[in-house]
Amino acid sequence: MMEYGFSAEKINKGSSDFVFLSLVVLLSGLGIASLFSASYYYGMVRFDNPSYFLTRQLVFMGTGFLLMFIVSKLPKGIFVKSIPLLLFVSLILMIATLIPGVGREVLGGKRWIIIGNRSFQPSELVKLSLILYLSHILSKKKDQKNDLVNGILPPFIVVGVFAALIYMQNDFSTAVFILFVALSIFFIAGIHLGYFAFIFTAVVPLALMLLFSKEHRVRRLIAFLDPGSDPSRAGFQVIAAKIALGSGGFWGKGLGLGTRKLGGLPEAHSDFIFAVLGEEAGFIGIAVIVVLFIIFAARGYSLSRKYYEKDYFAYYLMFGLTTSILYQALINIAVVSGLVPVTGIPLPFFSSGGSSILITFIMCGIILNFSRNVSSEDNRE
Amino acid sequence: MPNQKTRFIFFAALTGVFILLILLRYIEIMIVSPSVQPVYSPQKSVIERGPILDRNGRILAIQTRLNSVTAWIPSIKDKEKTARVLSEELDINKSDILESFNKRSGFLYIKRKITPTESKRIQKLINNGDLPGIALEPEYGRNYPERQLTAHLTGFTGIDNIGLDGIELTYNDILSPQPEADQETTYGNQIFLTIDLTMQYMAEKAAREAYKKYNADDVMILIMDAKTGEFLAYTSIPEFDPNTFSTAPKSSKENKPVTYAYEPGSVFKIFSLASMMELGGITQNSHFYCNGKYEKEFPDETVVINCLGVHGDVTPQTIIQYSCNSGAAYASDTVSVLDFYLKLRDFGFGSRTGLPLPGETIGILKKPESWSGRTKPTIAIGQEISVSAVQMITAATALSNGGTLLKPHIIKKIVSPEGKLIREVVRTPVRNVIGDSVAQAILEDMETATLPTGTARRLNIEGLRISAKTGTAQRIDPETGRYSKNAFVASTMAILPTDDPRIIIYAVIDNPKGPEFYGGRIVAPLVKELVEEIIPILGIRKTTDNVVEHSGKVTLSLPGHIEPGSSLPDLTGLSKRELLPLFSIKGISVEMEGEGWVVSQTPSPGTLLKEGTVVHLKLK
Repeated sequence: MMEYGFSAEKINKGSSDFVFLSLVVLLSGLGIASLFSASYYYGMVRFDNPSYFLTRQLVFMGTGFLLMFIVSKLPKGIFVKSIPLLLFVSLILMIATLIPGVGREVLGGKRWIIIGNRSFQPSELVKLSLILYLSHILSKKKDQKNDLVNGILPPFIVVGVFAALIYMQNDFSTAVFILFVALSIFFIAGIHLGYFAFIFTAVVPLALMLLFSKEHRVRRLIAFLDPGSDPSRAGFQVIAAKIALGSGGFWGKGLGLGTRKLGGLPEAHSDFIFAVLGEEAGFIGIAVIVVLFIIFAARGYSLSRKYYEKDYFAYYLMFGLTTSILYQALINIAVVSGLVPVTGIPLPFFSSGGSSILITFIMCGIILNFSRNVSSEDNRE
Repeated sequence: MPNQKTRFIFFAALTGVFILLILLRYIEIMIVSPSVQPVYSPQKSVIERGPILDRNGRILAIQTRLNSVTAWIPSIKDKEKTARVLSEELDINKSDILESFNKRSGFLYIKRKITPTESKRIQKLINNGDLPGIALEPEYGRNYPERQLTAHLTGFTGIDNIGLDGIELTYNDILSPQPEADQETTYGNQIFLTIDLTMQYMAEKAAREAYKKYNADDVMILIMDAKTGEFLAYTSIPEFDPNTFSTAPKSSKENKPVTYAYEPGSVFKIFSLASMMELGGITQNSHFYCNGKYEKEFPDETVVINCLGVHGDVTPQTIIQYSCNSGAAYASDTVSVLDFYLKLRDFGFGSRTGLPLPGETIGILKKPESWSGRTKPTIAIGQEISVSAVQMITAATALSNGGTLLKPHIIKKIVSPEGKLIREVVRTPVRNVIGDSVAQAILEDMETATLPTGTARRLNIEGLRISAKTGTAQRIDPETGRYSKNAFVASTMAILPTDDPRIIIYAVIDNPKGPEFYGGRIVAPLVKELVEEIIPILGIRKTTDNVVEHSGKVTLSLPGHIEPGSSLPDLTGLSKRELLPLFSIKGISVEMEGEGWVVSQTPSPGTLLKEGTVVHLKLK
């Protein structure tokens, strides 16, 4: 294990992984193009401005790229040092969303807080903070990792508290997603399988109870099982997405030529953007995007593997960040196809939405940062 | 640590399976079995609701296109100014508009279905760029050119053009069928009522006058074709204007002839005596003695029914002529409770007539088990039984059709938008209730009521044989549950001509206030006036008429429906009103010049009508 100092000579050594950076650029470019096609109509009728969402997304992406660049150049040590602060800020923001006046309710979920005239979704920040925290705590307590009281319980409680807070914002799916990412890091860190059995027996019944406690979740679940049962409401998105996809066929209608986004497909510019893509680019386009995400993840994982048995913090961190982005994409894509129930999880690089884009780019920045340091480390040896 | 390596491989494998599942799913829904039928299309297809017409094709309800003022709140630049301008133009409260601008986001209706004048002014402001974010959107609405005249029949549609009452409700799917997927505009079918607007107008006028004169709760006048069961007029006052139904008081919207159950009183004697005669209890020659009351001893009570006079020896004929209560009550002793009950059921009492109007009552005809000793003689004089006006006039068809009860009709025919006849309603016999001879006997007995000594003498018309029966029932006081001493239902049933009945008129004045309340005194004269007015329309002649046969000109009326492809009829001599059906023809425009009657037309009669033909008419 190595100690990271804040010394100047370690900055700007080596170059970031070019393949990974290219994938980020490629996905962002495709994302922007899809978003414009998916949103110009809604922007036109809603804001009198067909490029409303495009402009907005370009601003966020530009900021994202800038953040990614800055983060990729930061000294590595700053990440561990920032963990307490990040956790604290995340906690404060999460609690703030629950305070009336600060938190803003959109479509029944209290997930946003307002800063000036901008709104921010703190649960995105929680993802980043938790991955950093878990990577750190599990690598530090590597020897105690199968000690229940000192090893597993503290991180698990922290994850539980955040999941509970996100749940209280009426965002069940993000809470489950965070639990999933946390568990995948626990798993990869080698926590005894017996504990997983224990966690599952404890969490699954609780999750089911919470799942059925809110009408809209039950409705979404029923809509998932039988979209036709309530075509006017919860099943509507699913059916509408299927029709959009079905009309795309193998080759698609051609970029920009889809019609379902013209009112026939709700949330075309955000969570259901993949359906617009399917209609316009066909199965071939879908396959290309999925493959790009697979290559993206494979590159992320393979970069993380370089730290294996050398620096477990970096290994867990890069694994966790890659998993977070990959699974957000997979779950979103699965939702659009009706394979899993409707959640509120956006498609990274594609869906409109500020907080999600910024955090995604910061995550990529961290991965790039560590990819660069691997190279420089290798060069030194 | 090999354990961790295995775990990553395991994790990656799981992820791989998940990705594979997703791709298979996409292959399934995109390539193998794509669902392409749209469940929703952003462009609403337009349905043009079919018209409702009278039997001669005169328009009672028709589709209109009016603009609604809508707002896109995000596009509004100056909310304050926009609200001020709109409130001035549309006569609505400024603060209300401003409040909805601030409270809502996105799309908003400010005022729906504005007048063409308002529409013109708003359009001008929009064109000048004074109202950014405000738009006019055409919406289909419904117009009832005859206003209140047939309101209880047509009913009305709501703001979304869906039938809410009357034929508009019961035939909503016919008037406004499901839109066809491949068509932009779907046209509804046309419904022709059996009503004759001219007679409807006369009946309505008479009812309205009586309503005012006697300060009644309600006046109903029904006129039915005695041979077919078709309603020629159907009116009930109070009434309402279906164009502004939302502001009309609730009571005015009650369709009393079908929904209101009341005790009919003596008019009912024609059905009770017909039943007894059919059951063999009495004949035309049966004699009963009226000493002013009917009296019968039962073990636990003595039933007494008072008569309005002392009529001495009576027969079925004089019972009807003088409306003798004790005679009718004694006559009822000749038949059993069950037989009497079943015969009244055969006449249709205690069940719905099946008119396609919402809320029809079955009236109240108690089951024989719950009849007391008093019930049978009381029903014989038309009390202790509740009926609706449509039940009464429908039951009378058995008398005018040699004993066969007819189904009443309000719909004459349904015609598709292309002019194809979809359904035509014809005479529908329901069952034989009484024998032909019984029906004849009762009609003749009823005719004697119009003799100078009969209760319906005020309905006597020289040279015309009329069978009539009047009635004055005591209303049950809803507070005490007993018969009221000053609330009555006065009514008259007239079937004419007696020898070959053509029409049945039934008029009811509910709770007339004033010194006069007897059916024979207040309803019979009203019916007489109405008969005098309508018989020329029906071509019923009095024997006193100086008949001048004229073989000259045929009656002027436009065929029920003309369509592109048929030839243009001779329109000369027609009035503007009679030209109305011309305007409902699709694809043809009509230009008129002048007032009065058509004196010339282009193209000339017999010209084939094509889409786009312009018919030019000169009126003088």
